[in-house]
Amino acid sequence: MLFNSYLYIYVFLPVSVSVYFLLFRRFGRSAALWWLFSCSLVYYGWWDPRYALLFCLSMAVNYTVGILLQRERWNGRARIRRTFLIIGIVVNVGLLAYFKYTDFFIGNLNLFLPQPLQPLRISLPLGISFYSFIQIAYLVDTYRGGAGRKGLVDYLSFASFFPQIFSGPIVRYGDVSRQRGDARTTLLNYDNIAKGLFLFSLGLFKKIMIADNLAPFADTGFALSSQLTLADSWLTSISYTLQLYFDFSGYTDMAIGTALMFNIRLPINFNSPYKARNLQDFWRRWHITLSSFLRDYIYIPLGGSRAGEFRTYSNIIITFLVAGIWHGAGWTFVFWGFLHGLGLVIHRFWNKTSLHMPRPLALFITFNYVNVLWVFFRARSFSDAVNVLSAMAGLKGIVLPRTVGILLGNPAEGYLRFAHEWMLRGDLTTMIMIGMLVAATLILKNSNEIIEGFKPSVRYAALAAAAFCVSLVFIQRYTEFIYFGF
Amino acid sequence: MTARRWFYLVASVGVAAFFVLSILNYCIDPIQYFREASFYRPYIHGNYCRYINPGMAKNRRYETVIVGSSYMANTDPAMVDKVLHTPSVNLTMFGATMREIRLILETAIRTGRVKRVVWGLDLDTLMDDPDMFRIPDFPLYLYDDNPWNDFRYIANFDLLFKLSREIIAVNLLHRSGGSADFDSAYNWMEIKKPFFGREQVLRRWKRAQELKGRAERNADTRRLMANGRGNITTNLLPLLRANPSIRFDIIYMPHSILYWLDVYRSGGLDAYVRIKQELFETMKGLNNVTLHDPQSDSAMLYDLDEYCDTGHFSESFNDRFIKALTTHEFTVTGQSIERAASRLMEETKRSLDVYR
Repeated sequence: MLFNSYLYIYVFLPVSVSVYFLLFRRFGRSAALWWLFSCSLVYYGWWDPRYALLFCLSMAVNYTVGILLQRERWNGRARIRRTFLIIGIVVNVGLLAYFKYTDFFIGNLNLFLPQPLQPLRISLPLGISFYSFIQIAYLVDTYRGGAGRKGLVDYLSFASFFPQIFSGPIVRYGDVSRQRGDARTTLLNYDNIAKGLFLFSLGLFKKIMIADNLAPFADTGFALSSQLTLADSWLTSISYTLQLYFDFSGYTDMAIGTALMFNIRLPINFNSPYKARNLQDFWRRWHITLSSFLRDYIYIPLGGSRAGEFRTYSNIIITFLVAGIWHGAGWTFVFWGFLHGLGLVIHRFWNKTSLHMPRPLALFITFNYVNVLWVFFRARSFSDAVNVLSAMAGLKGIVLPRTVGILLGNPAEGYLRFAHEWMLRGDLTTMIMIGMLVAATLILKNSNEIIEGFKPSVRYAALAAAAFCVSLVFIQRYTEFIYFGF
Repeated sequence: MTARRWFYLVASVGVAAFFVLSILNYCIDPIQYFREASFYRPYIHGNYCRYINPGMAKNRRYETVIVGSSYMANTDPAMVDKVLHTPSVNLTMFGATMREIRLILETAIRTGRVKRVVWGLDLDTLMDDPDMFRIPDFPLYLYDDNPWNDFRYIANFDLLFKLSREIIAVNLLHRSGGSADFDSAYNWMEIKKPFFGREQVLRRWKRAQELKGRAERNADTRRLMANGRGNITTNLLPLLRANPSIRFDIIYMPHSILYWLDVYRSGGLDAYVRIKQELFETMKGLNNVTLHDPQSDSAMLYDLDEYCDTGHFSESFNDRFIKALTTHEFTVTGQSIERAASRLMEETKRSLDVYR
């Protein structure tokens, strides 16, 4: 079941929210949370019930380890608590490694074996990367003593909370637990419902009307990477850069909107990332909850920036290698992570020079660096990525519309060519539309800023209804969210 | 405005929009799934054949069904009516896979009207995975008798939007496009007319040879053997066995000599001969099935003026093999199968030096 489906919008969401508050009022907190957990299981199991069982098993293990970590009898016996924590982390990472990286490992091992091993072709349980990280964070927070109250149903309804389960945001137990402790969250709150619906409509529009319409340009470009020329390749890479942003931030808007209806404020995940002026700024704006996780649970435990220059740089690189491999089992992802780490190291060097870079130039460089790196993120292989990048660099020639050739007096063709079909897909109008979308990401307010100014007025109602109804027309064409694959 | 009122206002608009669009979709029924169009000129276009065919299968009156891929799309049902003396319907699909053909045939057969099937078998469709659909969102819900999942069509506003635009253009703006005539709806002769002719076909063949590597063709041939048997046992045989009272005429789609040269040069001609042999052996015991093989016919091999590419031929060929259903000119028998195979092989080898 996807957010962008009739079943979710017209049946699942209204029923789950209304029964939740009804149960809260009639039977209390526990009944409502059990209902929420059941809804989450249905939502998750709709995809494949077998993986719902795996997910339950994972939650059971983590909850048990969490209980063990909390036991007062271990007070003062740090080694035992640390052992429990390590066991918990190993189980989560082991599960993730088995489902996500086994075939990747076999593929690499086969490079050195005389008799290659057969890949196991294990299908990836949806959301495993996210729920593994959410539960690791829970264990570490519990170990550090900051996770708060932990009843069974509190934990289950937190870890499986359906708005966040497939693609985040990566939520901390303490954040949700604090909100659930507030008596005001037990009542149906129309302010939150209205805001949630508004955000949901915006997210739906971003996904269906923007991201899904950009997908064909990116897909065609990457599928035919060897045939790309200059204009094509830029259209391909920028289409993907925009598609990824609108797809993932659209999903996040819908997730945050849904959670708001349950009176839960999920952390923001995007803050106009393409407005970033440097790579550090970018990672404070893009997939914010992942960046926070990597900072708090990998970078800082590695020593952060406290152990000298060299260690700081190596810690940054290691952290982003983890980010790369977390996104996908492939060397292109690892390389993508490495280049981001390298970019951050260079940025730190730059900061030490105290040179000033004009803002537009900083914006331009950051956007293009990120755009170029998304090519590795999206490409199926290094050769595909190199094809796209060499075309972007103009190494595969330049093809322009035939009319331009006529205007220039039909010059001799060589490196520069003129053709009726000067792009694999799209034309000048497409280029202009894509350019406008880039401008929109740089100029317009993002969802978080819009929702801060939200008032239940006719203007906002018209905006939400228009976004929702236009999306509704094209909803049947639904496609999965890109981040479901990670 | 209070938040409560705001919410109910927006939610009501969302719910109302859904119902209004659903009712509109049901009434217009742009693919004529529930009924044939009565108050507007329908827009029937090959791009939507997978959506339109189930409705045609359910609502038209016929006894003979014409199925296959684009090669069969130019088959004129009127010609079939004349030759076989039964009303027919053309349910071909562009780029059809074997599974898609099976599904539309099952849908038609469930109506109880089908007495004869004319199946234009493009051997290349046997290469596809037996479970494959050509399009990712194949509307499976239109191909069964379950009325509940028709909801997915009623709520398919994307289809409503696209087809309504065309229907409005055809009816109100009098723009040409598509067809209101079911019988000629999928005929592509008019569109492809500029591409026909020996010179053009040869020129494009030479250019395609430069683009398409031999390795790709080899991979195609391997797939023919790997998936061919699966397609025969999954999508062909069960249908033929389950309907002994229906007569099936299976015609192998002919191609030009250039097509066979490509196959031969990639080392794949043997595979085509073998799969035809297997089909013959499998069908031997089935009295309701007749195989027809016009692939080694001289005119079909060499008359490149009748082709728009190496594989796709003009409607005159369709007329010819339809007429041959009664004259048995191409009917496959124990004796003819060897003869046809060696002739195709000889003609191809003989042409190696002619077409380079």
